[in-house]
Amino acid sequence: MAAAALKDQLNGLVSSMFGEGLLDDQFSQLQMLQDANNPGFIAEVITLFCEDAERLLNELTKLLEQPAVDYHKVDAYVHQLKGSSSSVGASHIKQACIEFRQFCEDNNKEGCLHTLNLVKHEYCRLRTKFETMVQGWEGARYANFLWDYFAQGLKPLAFATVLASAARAWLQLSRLLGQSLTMLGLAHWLLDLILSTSMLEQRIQAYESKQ
Amino acid sequence: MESVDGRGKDGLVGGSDGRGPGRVRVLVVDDSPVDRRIVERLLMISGNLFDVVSVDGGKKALELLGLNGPQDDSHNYDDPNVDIILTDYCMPEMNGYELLKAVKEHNHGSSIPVVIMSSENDPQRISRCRACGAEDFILKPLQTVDIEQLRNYARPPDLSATKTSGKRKPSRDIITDSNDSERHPRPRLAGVAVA
Repeated sequence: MAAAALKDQLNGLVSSMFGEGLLDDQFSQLQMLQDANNPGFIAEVITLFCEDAERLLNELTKLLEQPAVDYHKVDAYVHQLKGSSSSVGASHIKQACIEFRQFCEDNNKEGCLHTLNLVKHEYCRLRTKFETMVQGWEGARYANFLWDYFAQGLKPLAFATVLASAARAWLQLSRLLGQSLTMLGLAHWLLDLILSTSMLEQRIQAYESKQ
Repeated sequence: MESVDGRGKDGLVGGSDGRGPGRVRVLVVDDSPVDRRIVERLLMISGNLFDVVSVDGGKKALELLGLNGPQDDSHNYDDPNVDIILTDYCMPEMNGYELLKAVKEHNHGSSIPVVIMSSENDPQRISRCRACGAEDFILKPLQTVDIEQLRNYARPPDLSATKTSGKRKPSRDIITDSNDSERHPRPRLAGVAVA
């Protein structure tokens, strides 16, 4: 089953992140908080973390661009970032923030700028992996649903009709754009269409609540 | 879980006063959206014991509690039925200690137990909060064991209905000198989570 293979890949990704020291035990604690009633919990926390981290990094960049740096303010933002990264188990960012705060204490602008770049680098690295992880989880969730949808014979004819009309639309679109139709392109486009169908999303939620 | 506008994020619906039967209503105060969400989730999965309301700062907490007006303004006071306040220490504008002080000094709020969360194990900070009437001082990030303790601190339902109460006497505690925040396992010394 495709979903099982995808889950294995995702587990491999998470394991490698632990292996590299990108994540620590706190992330395992978060995984334990996710259950069938709240399948999107980690994705939600990751999204909140990324939004918060980007806001804080922007503020820090602005503050360190000033000729007279307000180290007290810088330290307050770094403290916030350290707290958030610690809560999601982002150990590299947390460690870099500890170093950053030391430079703040010493009023060392050069050290602060160097560590800010280090934090940004670590954040970008982590965000890329987090994005892959979240997309993978969503993909596995949909794949699981589709597999069971057909396996249980839940109106496959109606579903096939949706896919057929989508394929027709794709053909028209490709002719219109003068592009050749590839199977991979078709599959990708269909997947996008399926994932963005709110009706399907509602059915998935209804299906998951019955399980 | 309710946000400040009262809508439940986890589809939680309380009674007429926003509380489920026999449940403890917790007000979570934290400026970090990540920590707020994690604490909410920890509370939600703890055996259906808690109803959660969360705000992102001390001033909003006082507003929600109805403690931002003058002390003698009791005819306008609407008891929000909060059984316990769980607040972060380090927040902009009003920190956890200032919120604790404001709650304990107000004659309508002095009976509400307050638990402080912090990412730093600072003995001075701990003793200052305990002296002001904090029930406990928990290290972040919070874990399931920390949440299990909260029910013991929450004021009993009959107290929730009363508008005033005498101040609690803070108990004296042993405070650790360690500043290291690695905490596996987490021993507790007289209600204080230590590293």
